[in-house]
Amino acid sequence: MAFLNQWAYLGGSIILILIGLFGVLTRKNLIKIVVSIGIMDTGVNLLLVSLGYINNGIAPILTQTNANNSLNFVDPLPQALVLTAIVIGVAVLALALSIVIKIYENQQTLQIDEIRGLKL
Amino acid sequence: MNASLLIAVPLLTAFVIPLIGKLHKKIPSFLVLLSTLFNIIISFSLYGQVMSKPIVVKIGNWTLPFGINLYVDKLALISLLIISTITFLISIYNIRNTDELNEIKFNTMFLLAFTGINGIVLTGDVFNLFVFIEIAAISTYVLATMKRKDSFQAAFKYIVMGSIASVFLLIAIGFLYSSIGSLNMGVIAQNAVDLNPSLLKVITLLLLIGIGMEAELFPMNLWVPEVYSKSYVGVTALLSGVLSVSGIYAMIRVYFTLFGGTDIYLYITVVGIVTLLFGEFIAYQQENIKKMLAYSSIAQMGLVMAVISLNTTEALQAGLFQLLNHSILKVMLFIAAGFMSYAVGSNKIKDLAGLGKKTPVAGFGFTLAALGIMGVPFLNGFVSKMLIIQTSLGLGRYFFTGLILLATLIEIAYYLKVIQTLYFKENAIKVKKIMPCLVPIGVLSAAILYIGIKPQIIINLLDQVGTQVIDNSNYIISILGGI
Repeated sequence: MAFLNQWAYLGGSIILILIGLFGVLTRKNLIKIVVSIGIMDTGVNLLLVSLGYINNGIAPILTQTNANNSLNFVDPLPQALVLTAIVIGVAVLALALSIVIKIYENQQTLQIDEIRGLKL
Repeated sequence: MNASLLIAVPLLTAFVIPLIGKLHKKIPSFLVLLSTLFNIIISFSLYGQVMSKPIVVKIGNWTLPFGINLYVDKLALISLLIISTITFLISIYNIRNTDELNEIKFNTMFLLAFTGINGIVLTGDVFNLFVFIEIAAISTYVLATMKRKDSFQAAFKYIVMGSIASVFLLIAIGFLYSSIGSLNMGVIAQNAVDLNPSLLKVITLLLLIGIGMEAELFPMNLWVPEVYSKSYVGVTALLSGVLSVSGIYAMIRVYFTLFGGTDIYLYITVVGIVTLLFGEFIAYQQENIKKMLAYSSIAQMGLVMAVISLNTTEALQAGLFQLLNHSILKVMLFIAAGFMSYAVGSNKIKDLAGLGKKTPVAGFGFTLAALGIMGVPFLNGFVSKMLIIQTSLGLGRYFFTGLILLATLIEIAYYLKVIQTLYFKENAIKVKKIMPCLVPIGVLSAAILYIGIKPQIIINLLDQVGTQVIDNSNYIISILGGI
């Protein structure tokens, strides 16, 4: 079961990334593309966290009660990485949405096929 | 002088600009100028030290490999010098020409992009590489929106591509961390030889996509023409002449330092050649001068990557020489072309007819740089093209050499077409009187001629760079000591 637990996180996050990628490639609405980018970011963050996951792990802090079971510590580094990645992801999403607003103001539409200069 | 100032000072200046930028209209541009000048001076002051031994700066004085470090070797120093000098010249051009933009916003973002680009070159940690790539990318997303109403579409395309690339980069970093257990480049380089070969292939492909966005390599470079043709000239020059240098630098770090002992170079050769031919063929068909230069820029990046992937000291030397020349020549082409298209108010090549006489400075700059790219003798492009052909023939890669020569022929055809339009055709369009941008064009022309006539200094320098880069044990030893 421990094996399954670990792979559920990995597999789930990779599926999320692929869903996001599919969305970016196929959707025709600018907002939906931005949402797909968000899904992709979430997927990759989950992937990073799950790399440091240990079944029944505890927080990596040495105290008097758990001075000896350091083998059960979860890896804190991926969590620190994910915090950074989340901040970057939010910044990119905010910027993308503000650009979508500007495009809508200029063109009065959000459909890719109706906007000049956006065919990918 | 401490190498971390190269990142800290531009970052600080970027956030000082909004505070005191309101005092006078030209303060933001001059702060950018000072900050880039400061970086040039610092990079030169590191020169003597780096030539004898690479500099490792431990951030917060933590013992390596547990802390984060900056790393300056010969390759990094050369890239830093190219980056800060070219950015300095672009910011001279910006002083006079940013009137139609919001100066405070533009200059803040310009310096943030410069910070990120310096960070990409200096960092010795894979996750920091990701963070700096994102800093450079996000600030250039904003810069790309800053010209006209229809630049938002191009910027949106750029953001979508950039986000996909950054996701791939993060996955690669995650896999690297989970299989090696460290993010430090020295540790990764030491242990990469023992990686599972199929995992190694997956990681290097993911990195190729992730960093290929910055280096304008084939799958992820579809944003380039749109963004280049719609954004302000200074931004285009920054993206083409500076950001791509850092992209290629990151590629070399990843493929030669991290995975130096492994066999992955065939991918980059194929990607490089495909990028080269794709760029040249489409550039030939363009009628918009900025798009033509954008596709030509893509092609040059492909050429550099393809040559570097031959994986010998001579190949690295030739590739880096071509990168240096590309940086000088493309910035000059973009500045001159931007100037001319501003003068006639059009980007079409046929509307530029006769401008060689009406705007002599820009016309001369464009022609000299175009001749340099074609590889006319006594200009810098000739030397690097010769080196490339010598190297690939020396390795017995005849088909490869043939493809490069084919690409060069196409290149000569479309640049000659533009030069012919500039000098031997007439046009009735009225030309605006504007001040010529003498300083950047003068300095760059001097560089083109000087390197073309006396290439030996650069060749010797790049030879040392190549020798140091090709053997990644230098890197491992200077980070981890003699372990």
